[in-house]
Amino acid sequence: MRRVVMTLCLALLAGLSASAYAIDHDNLDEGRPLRLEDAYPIASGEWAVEMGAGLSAQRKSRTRGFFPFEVLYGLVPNLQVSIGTTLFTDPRQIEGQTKSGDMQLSGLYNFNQETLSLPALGLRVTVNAPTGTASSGVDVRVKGLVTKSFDRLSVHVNPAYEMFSGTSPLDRDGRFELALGASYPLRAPKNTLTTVLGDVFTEQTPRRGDPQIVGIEAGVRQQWTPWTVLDAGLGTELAGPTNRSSVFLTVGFSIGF
Amino acid sequence: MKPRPLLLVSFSLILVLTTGVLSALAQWVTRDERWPTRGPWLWAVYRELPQFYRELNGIDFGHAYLAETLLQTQDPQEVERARLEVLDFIFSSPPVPPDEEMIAPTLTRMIWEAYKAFNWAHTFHRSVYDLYASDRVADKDSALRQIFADYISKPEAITSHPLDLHDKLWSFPESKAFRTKFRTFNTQIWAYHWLQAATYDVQLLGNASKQRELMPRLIEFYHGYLRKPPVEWQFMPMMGEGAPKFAARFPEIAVVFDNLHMLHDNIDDILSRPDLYPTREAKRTAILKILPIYLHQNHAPEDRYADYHAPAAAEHAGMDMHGGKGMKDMGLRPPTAEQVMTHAAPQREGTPKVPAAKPETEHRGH
Repeated sequence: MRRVVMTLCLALLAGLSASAYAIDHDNLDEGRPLRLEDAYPIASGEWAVEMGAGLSAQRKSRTRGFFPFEVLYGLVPNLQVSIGTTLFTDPRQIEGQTKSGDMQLSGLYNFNQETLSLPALGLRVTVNAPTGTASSGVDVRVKGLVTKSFDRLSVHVNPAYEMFSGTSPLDRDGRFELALGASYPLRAPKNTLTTVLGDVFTEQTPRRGDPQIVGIEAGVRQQWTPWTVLDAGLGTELAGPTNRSSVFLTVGFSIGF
Repeated sequence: MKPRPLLLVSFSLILVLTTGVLSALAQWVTRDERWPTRGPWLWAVYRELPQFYRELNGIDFGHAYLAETLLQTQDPQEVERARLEVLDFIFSSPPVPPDEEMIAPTLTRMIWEAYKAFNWAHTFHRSVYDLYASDRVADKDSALRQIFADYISKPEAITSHPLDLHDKLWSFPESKAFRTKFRTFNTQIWAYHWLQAATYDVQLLGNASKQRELMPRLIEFYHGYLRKPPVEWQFMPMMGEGAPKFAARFPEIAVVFDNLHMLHDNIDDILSRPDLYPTREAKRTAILKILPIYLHQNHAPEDRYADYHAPAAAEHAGMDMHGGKGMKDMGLRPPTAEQVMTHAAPQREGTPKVPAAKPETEHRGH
């Protein structure tokens, strides 16, 4: 399976045009670099590829590498669809339902543009197919996206609920997640190429009875060329099960074309 | 609590909530961001005319920063400071388009309906530059028709119907306020529009290599306008003035860009009259009153905006700029691209001398 995914990734990369257009680097997408995202999709008709590499140091087990890859498309105005996967090192040690090599199909719909009185509202639905190592069951996650700005500071709220199938009796059938954070363009208005962002998050653990995970993370997105954005993020899980992550970091790259 | 006060409180609460919800819903607007029309021409300006590409990035900043400034202040010193900051930005030759939502966060959230019309029209503008800067397309007229058809089919497209820009659309209570109060900044904005127009006629003169050879002359002339804005201009430059050949060949497209530039002026006028429009809501209402005239695609003699149609004689404003009723008494007008190329246009003070180019006959292959 891993070979298939890698082949797909390389084929898509090879097909990328050398030329691309102005990517909206303020458009925050999950994983690039934080879990926090805004309520906006990519432009209608735009293609984008987002990829990254990261490390997560676990308190009770070996440090794990992860490599997310996602292809996005603006299907119609205000709706983006995407397909992606994440490969992990030590794939069999992963707790939870999302395994290394699982294929994720996602749709993000934005209901409205933020105005002076209304926040921007969006909804993301993700289906996780058990194509990965030791994976079982199709999982569905529904995530609300709210963005409200105060001058150039944008606050984002992402509540989510994920429904699992194919779980063991010790695991939950579903779990709640919540991320609350903000993004800000450094040195704006004269320079709008750098955005810093941060969030606090909490989520229920996959295993019943384990304490809830609480963490913080911070990152930066830097527009590199009109079509490319580089990002980096760093975080920690402050509370949760004994084998929670003591620190995780990621770097990534997005290209719109 | 007695029943009557309870009833009163409930009624008041419902009233407040209803008013709040209705007011909020009145601002409901969809985002509708679009990627440019796809074709082999995409990003050609970035590759072939990098200097011009950077000028366009500077212009994007200039429009957004001006509008946000006018929302915050009418103090002449502050507005002048903002103008100089725009110049600094333009002369920094920005390699990446700025994020206008971060430059003008209040304006874009206040009036997204207008902003998305600007956004789509600016995308169209850039696509046409891309097309003519690309040597990969043989039949450019056909490709241009395709790009235009895609542009005009969208609800936020600015109409290609000639409107009465000089008279009816510049006779609102606030009209000319920006020109009167901030003439230097206003004519600096008009200089952007002149460059945007004149470039098309330069592009008609040859392939990408020829354009690369000619554009520095045009850009230097434009920089002369930035260093010393053409305050003698009384009205915005028209496509038919900067680019008469392009406007004659593609009148519908020239009209779209003239209408686009006039809409900029209308909005800047509204933002320059806080006495008439003291609140953001009042400004938004005034802009939303004008915007539909520009977005109305099927202007016909009997339609509700008939008053705003260009007089028949000036319908093809792009082709006959100096004969129309509205163009009388406009004083000194901007030069054509060809006049700049041949040094027939007077050099602005402080503009470095660039050797006169030799424009060839129009490049029909494009």
